[in-house]
Amino acid sequence: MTAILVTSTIVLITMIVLLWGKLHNTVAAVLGALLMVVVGIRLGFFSEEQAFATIDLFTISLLISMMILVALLEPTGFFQYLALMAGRISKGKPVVLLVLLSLICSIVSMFLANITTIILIAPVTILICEILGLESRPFLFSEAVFSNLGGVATMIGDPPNIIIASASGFNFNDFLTHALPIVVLVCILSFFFIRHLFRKELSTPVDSQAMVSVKPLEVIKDKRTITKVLVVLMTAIIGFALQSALNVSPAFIAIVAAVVAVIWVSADIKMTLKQIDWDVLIFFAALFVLVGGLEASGALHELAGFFLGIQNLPPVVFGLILLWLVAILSGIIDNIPITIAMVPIILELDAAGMHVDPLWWALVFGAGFGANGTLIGATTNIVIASISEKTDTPITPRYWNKRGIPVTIVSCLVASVLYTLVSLTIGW
Amino acid sequence: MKLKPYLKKMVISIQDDQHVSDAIDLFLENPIGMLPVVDKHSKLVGIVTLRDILHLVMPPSFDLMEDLAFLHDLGATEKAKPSLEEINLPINQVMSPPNSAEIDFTLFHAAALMTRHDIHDLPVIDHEGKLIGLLSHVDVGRGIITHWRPQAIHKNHPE
Repeated sequence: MTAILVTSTIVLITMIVLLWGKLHNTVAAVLGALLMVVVGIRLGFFSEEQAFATIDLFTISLLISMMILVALLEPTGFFQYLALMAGRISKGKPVVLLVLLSLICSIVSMFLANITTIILIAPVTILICEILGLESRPFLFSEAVFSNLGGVATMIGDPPNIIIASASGFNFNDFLTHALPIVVLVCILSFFFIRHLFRKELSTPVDSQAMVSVKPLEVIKDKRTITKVLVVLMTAIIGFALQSALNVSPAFIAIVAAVVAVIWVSADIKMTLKQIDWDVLIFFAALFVLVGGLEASGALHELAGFFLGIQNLPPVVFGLILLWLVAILSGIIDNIPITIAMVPIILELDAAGMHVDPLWWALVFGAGFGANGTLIGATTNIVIASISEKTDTPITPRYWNKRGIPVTIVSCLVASVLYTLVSLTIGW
Repeated sequence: MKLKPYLKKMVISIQDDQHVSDAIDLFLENPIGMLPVVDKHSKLVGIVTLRDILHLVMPPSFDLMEDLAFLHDLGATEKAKPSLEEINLPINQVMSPPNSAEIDFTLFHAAALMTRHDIHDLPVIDHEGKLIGLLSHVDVGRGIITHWRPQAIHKNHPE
């Protein structure tokens, strides 16, 4: 009982420090993890070996490999090209521009890391808006929102999905059949809602001539590298789809893809590895240890027992509660710690004989759609806000939350309706 | 070789309590690209370049992009003008910290500073930090390469 109390306190304090925001997330999580190991050894419920074993290397290596692929694309001008193409095709019409940029962000985010995509597309977006005489905030906001939404659709789109896939055993195709259709519908309805939110900004008259003369191809610096990396990426995606037939893990496929790409484009490995978000990876590793300690102390077992006690609830209601709870918590803290914390609880419920597939999907949707709620809900949001600080109209937490919360409510409502429909008809 | 003989002593400068509008007037009246900023004791406290003034209306996204050559029409940004607020900004809010040479530096030392900081005009100060003149990269460069003519090199390194 002491162990449960102490570990819960450590996790709680770490969460408060994360919320407080004065200490870098990675530092806060590593400190929490260290404390967890020290206490675990002292009280005898958690050893150093156990701590290392809790770090999900499948997740970490899949993330590193995907980050390498993005890092190779980064200097080529590929992402800038996509954004400029959106500007060119839209001929500067604000609504068409919004559709195209949102579409690009959601599709790219299904397969590549959101953060890098956003870092490269956002400046071009601001540039297009300035040339057209438009306010950039609605476009930047939508890019972040649709990056987050798109990431929910695939197994590799978003860190929570990678973590959930690794724990639940869901494969790439499971996400395509279960998550993608719901994400598509949520995206369509969210788009109409966002267009309504920004109806005033989007009706500004623009100087369209400037966009017609843009030559997107001129922004491409290295066509050969783009082709090579995209070929590797496509092959990897096919590999993910054939994962069970190939009998290898997605992490293995991703590592092979990253190695092949690095060799094929003769990348400078030191420069490429510098582009990896090591802080994010270490943050994940520390969270795994933290939650691992919590689990080893028996705290999560107790929590799962509590959930089992209310099992007389219809499973669909249970799933919906989980979806909304995770969505709200993701908005308050960050969806990654919430996902990592929920995984062992669902695994406990699984071990107790509960049918947990609907719960995994509720977690996917809650963590994914909840990320849009607040500025700190996802790293993408924070990154876009910091880029917008360089404009005359920066995205403040207030600006974000005022629009992000309604968008999240709409997407969670749509997801809830679809979730219920699936639960009551074909089942998860 | 000391820089002193190459110094321009008639320097147009601006006081640190003046405004952007005064700088605009000075740039319009004189064909110069940089104004040293001095305090009331004539001490050099900063510099304002014509580029700093233009930067007031440059869209921030231009700084975010590595290259702008792919744009053939800058659209709405072309019409940008500074606001009245920006015109009335105190000069110390747009100035940058000065890179300067002291009066007893050599020409080569001045050239090194100019190359290092990628600047075209170098304010020169005395030992108390007071502005006493200006060196242009043309003066400095010509002063140095005078001694690079073949006959001069031959004199220094006889075969």
